[in-house]
Amino acid sequence: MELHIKHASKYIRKALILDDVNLTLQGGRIYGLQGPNGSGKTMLMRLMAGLIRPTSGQVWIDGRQLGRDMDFPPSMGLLLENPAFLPGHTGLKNLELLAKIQNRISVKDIRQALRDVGLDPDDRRKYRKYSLGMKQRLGVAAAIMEQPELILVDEPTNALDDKGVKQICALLRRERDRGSLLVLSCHDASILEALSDEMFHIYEGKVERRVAS
Amino acid sequence: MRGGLKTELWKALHNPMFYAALAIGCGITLINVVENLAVAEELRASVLAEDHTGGSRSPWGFSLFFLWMPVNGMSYGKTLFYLVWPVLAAMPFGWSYLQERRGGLYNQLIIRTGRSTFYLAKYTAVFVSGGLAVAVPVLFNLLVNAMFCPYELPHILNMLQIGDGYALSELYFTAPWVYALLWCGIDFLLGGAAAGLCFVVGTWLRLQVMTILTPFALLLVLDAAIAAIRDRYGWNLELSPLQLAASVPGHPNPEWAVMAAFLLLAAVGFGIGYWQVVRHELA
Repeated sequence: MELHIKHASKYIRKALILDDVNLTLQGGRIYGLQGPNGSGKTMLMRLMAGLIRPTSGQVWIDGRQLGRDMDFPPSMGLLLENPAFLPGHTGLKNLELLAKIQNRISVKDIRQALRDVGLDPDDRRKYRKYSLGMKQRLGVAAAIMEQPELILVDEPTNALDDKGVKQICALLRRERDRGSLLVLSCHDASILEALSDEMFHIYEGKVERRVAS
Repeated sequence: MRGGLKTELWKALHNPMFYAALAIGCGITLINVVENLAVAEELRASVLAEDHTGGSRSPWGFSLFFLWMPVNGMSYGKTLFYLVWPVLAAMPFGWSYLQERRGGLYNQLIIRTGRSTFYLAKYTAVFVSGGLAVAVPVLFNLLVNAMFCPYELPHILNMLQIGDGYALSELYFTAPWVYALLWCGIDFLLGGAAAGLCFVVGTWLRLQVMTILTPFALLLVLDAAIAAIRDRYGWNLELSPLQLAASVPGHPNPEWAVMAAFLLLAAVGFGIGYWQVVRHELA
């Protein structure tokens, strides 16, 4: 997969949110987004996801323009800000409902995705009873379960303990090695640097490439 | 489309608000049943006191189809149900778009379905759940009343409220069961279309309860406007969608008026909703 952002700018109510962003991202790599709160990290991810359209400029995915040739990237996993699911159902049922929409994976795959993030597929508790860490893990499971080519994860390690952070980091590396293109933002600079193959710094909507350690 | 539609329908019909709307709707229709029990007892006593040697089985016109809620003109249950039906319609799932969009589940759904398919699936689920929330209590009322009211064919001399100009009036006097089932279908369509009005407000409102009250508020305003125009020009015609859900409103309700009300509600809800969901961008 190849994702090109060409001279993309985004204004929301006359405020410049993204300023002439130019990026080329390749599959099989993890890209880290770093920047202060409100700098435009989440907006850039929304732009890549097709959830917002650029005021000017374009986003191209494998030679097809987002918003013109397709609504959304055809194979994408997403975790933006807080995970959200149906509160009255178990984690497994929630993932089953999402997976049924495209019908690409089996219940066995969903159960494996839950185990991969450290959740028990047979847990009978409803989502509303989950702890913050469990909700976060379920959000990551939803993003990776269909083995998408593009994975956008915003703060995937929020509310996780050390063991959980290691588990999620290992999972994201596994997805990268499988060939997915991952874009990641995280407030913890050490996690971001450890995971990213390439890093970008965002400030007031401007994106600059940084060298990852 | 199929996967998205199945998911949305499952969510619409397996949530506590859907069950609550059905329970409240059926509860209100039971008010009508309790009222009918007293009327039925009086009529039964009158019938028993009459001489039936001539063969007449029901000289007082005591029939299920006089007491059934949508045609029963003197019932608190009917008045209440046909006032709050837009609220019942919006309760099951009308709020879901607002809640999912604000909560973030919307993102997970829409990236898997696409914008237009998501909207079609969501609108269909809102329509079906809203329609059921209105039609099922009406059918429930018919069946409960049938437990103690005889299925007599209504006679024109005993039912003066339904006449020329009222929707399906011929059918009422010739095939009342068909009439009753068709009216349940009309209530399903009006309930579904009214539930779709929740999309009109999109994400402008922040509270779930305000979204649920939106169709009621819109129909109430429309009802007041139509009543004022009718009084001004002296029309003897019911055009208010709020009133048209009852099969015997205060003024004649020809079939075209009922269909026009349905099409108007459906077009407004679907059209503005399409713009809100598919065209309008929420950062």
